[in-house]
Amino acid sequence: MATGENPRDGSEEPLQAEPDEDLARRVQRGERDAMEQLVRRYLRPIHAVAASYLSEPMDVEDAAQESFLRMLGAIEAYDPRRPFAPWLYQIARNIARKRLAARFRWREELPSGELPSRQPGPDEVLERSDVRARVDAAIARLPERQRTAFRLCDVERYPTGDVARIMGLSAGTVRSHVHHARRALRAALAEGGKEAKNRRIVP
Amino acid sequence: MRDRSEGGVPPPLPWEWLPDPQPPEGAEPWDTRLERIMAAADPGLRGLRTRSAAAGTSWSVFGLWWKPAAALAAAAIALPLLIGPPTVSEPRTEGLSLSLIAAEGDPVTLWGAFGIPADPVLARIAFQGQRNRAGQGVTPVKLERENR
Repeated sequence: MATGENPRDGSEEPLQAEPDEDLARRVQRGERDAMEQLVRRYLRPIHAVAASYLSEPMDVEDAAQESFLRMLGAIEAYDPRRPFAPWLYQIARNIARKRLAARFRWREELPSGELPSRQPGPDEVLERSDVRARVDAAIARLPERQRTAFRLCDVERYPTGDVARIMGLSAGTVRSHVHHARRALRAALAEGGKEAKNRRIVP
Repeated sequence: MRDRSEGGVPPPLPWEWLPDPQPPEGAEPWDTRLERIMAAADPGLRGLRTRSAAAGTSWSVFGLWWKPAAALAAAAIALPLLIGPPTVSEPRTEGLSLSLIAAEGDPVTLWGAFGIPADPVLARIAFQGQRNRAGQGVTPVKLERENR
């Protein structure tokens, strides 16, 4: 199969990759290589989605793995006429939200998907500059979709079209989410110091 | 901090302010994670293969012939409804063999039943001839058209 270099990270990808929906049909028949292709294709972005909700690396790891296993468990009910990526994204999003709620023992739905603030534990070390810490805290307070779109576009550097396809949104909506996120973050930085109480510490 | 956006589009934040991105695709952590996920997925994939194979041995083979069989059955039901019941054609008067069962029957009426206006005298003669032959054990009797 002919391959081409991925401009984002230099990895080799097939120029004529099998569509997600065709791979999903094959997974419905239990074909292992089809499952592996889907996991390989979406493991990194699904990790990024989980990371937009969860701060602990192990939580992110577990949530991403559970997303693919949950996808496999529901694959027989999946309709290949519908796009696969947004379906997988919804699974990952629901799992990350549940893990977040369970970790902080919140019984109710998180309003607007805002991440809860927490105090740093004794073993956690602040390694980042104050600016980064404030940016982290501000990101945590973004609305859910803005936070995910910002993470995928500005942090992970996925093209807007790819992010739109994964989140099941139009490219214009993704750009709008990212622009709102940037404005909110810059405003938060401009305030300076007000987010110290809600600092989200990342090891 | 001043927003130096051009045309209302806010520029991206400086890279060094943002959280660290994940390792690029193809880097080692991804292969390890992939293997872990596939190992956990193998039982589920086996179940899907089993169910897919079971569905293939029964229902798909069934599907090879049930459609044409159903089509033939439908045609067998529809055809008589379209054509209608078979009609009994008018019996031909020439060469008609008839067993006389009513000795008292009126020959003229008998000929009339076949649409033949019979002469009473000739019909009686033919009838009497039939009776004579029947008495000799010759049956069935072939009525001849005597009336011309």
